Amino acid sequence: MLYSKRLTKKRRTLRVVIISLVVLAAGTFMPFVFSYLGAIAMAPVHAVHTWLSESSSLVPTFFRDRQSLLSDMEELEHQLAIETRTSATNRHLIEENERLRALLGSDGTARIEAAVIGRPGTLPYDYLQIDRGTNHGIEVGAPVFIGRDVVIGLVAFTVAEYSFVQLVTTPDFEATTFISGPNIVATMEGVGGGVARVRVPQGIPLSVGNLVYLPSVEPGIFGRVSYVENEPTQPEQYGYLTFDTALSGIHKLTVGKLSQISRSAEEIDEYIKDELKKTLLITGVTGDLTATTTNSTASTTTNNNLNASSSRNLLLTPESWSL
Amino acid sequence: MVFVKSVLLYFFILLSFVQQFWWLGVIGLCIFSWFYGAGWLIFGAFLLDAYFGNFYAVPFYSIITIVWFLLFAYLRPRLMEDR
Repeated sequence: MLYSKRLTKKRRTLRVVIISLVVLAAGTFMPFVFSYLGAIAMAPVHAVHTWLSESSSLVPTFFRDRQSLLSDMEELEHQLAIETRTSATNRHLIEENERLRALLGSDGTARIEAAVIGRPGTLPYDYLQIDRGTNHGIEVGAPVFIGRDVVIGLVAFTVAEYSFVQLVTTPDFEATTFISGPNIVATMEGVGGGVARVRVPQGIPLSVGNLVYLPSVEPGIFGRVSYVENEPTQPEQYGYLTFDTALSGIHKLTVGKLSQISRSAEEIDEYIKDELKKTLLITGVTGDLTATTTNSTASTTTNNNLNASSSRNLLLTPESWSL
Repeated sequence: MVFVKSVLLYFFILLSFVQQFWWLGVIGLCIFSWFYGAGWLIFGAFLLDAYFGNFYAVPFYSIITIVWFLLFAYLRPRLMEDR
């Protein structure tokens, strides 16, 4: 009895499977008929699906908002994870930068904090007036920073209690810049109205967001390229730079020392040559001592006890001469 | 009452797959298979394949459901014996 029941069940299963395979084969041969029939049979499901997806009723809206918020949360968490990692990388780079500066003997020049008491509107554009002057150690030509290392200009005039800062965006102001990204050196010129521009030849991949450094100022970041003007028919392209902070939003800044303006390449070369010349002149060495040393070198060479390099050492190293 | 419940559950399964709530669909499918048998689910799979136009490519809903039907026909008596 049980056996026959199982047999019946098996037969029924087999029958269902065979019918299903036949329908499947028919569907594969006549997909358009099945799609048409499917669309009719699924009409109620499709109606509910449309209601849930598009209706502005309370329940569908609730579900849609929830899903949207969940996906937003996921995306924000992802961004936060990236930001955390970037922040850690930045910290690491700042620490490494400071360590390298210390190795190079940078003294971490103290800056003078100043408040802006006059700005464009009351002054000609591209000038700022600050509340610190010669009494506080401000020097003409000293670089002026916003934040840690963004250079915005140079002190152009100073008296006892206040100074004027000429911004790098002043017309006719020129400086050599290094553009990170395409990694090229270009001349930056002030255009006025808080805008400067760099001009580079066509073909250089200049793009919005490239960081622009002023290598002659220590440490010297100027800002980012905020617009690129590129006419393919022109021999040059222009990158326009503006301050990250609006001039009207600057109320505190710091003034560096004149020593933070680097010397020119020629001056640095000359300085290095002078220093090298000084090392070649050895004081306290007499002609007799040199002659003795030469004799001793000659005798030792005869005895085959010293090679040529050690004789050079003897000639050049004061400690060796005492031997 | 059983008929109404089965129809509602069937509708819920179809809607879940149309809405791409896969987990809800699979849970509903298991419950339906247990209480009402897996045979009718093959018909639902045909409808889903027809609705999504899968007969123009691979009607995977139907194929998976036929396999599920065979698997369930094999497993169900054994699970019942254990109970």
